[in-house]
Amino acid sequence: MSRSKTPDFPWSHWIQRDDRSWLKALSERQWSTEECHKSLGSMLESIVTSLHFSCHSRWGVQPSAERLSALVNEFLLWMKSSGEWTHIEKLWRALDHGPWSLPLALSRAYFRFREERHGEKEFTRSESSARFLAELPAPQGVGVLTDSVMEAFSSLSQQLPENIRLSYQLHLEGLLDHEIAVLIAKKPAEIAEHVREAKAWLGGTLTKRSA
Amino acid sequence: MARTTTKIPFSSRKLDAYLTAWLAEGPVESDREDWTRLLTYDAKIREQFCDWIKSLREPGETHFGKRGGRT
Repeated sequence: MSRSKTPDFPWSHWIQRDDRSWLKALSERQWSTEECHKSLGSMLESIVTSLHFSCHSRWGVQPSAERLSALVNEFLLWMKSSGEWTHIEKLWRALDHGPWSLPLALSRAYFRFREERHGEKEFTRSESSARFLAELPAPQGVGVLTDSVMEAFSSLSQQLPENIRLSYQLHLEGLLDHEIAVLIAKKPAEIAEHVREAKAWLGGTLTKRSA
Repeated sequence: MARTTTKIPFSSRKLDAYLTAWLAEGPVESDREDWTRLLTYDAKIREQFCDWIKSLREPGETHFGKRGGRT
């Protein structure tokens, strides 16, 4: 299959941004966290909120402005000291004529920052969002139990027929039908059908029918 | 890239350019087969990949009720 531009990618608004001139201007000035924070504030806050608090946002719980700002500053300082900013600049120059997106690059950088500085513990799916944001200790044992249930449920999906398995697994992880469709080159209607089929299969409907 | 995706962690810098091209232009068939296998069988990579994809949504859409916790 040859590559073709698809205008309605869910993340097109990121890819289509023209950040090159801004990056160029910043790289020619002296880099500072203040400058970055001022220029990229809303973009960074969006990335940090999405990636740092992803396990909480399903409840509509938002981090406080102070915590968000502190994380953005910590991230900016880490980018400079770890060489991440240099990497982003190199990537931008290497992809001068190809697709480029600063938010995408920053989100990848934040992923690494989160892994290095904040480890896995903060991001378990089962942790209570309200408790976490209020900095209260999680109830003992509950997280382990919920994680086990999630793992068991995920393992169950391995039994699904191969043609519908990945669609359902990505659906389980919270991707939307049109996102899955783009990622695995299917039509959204096919994804919706796969999910319906997977639920029916796991619910035993198809097994009973074929028996 | 296709043969190396299974050997390096999702957060690796080596994947940055590849993933950007994928999201900008769609999957290349030869790589898609590798990624399909990887995402199907490696739960950790799948979780990280989806976590990252979800972070690319519009903030309003991202933060309220449209992610995670599916059945």
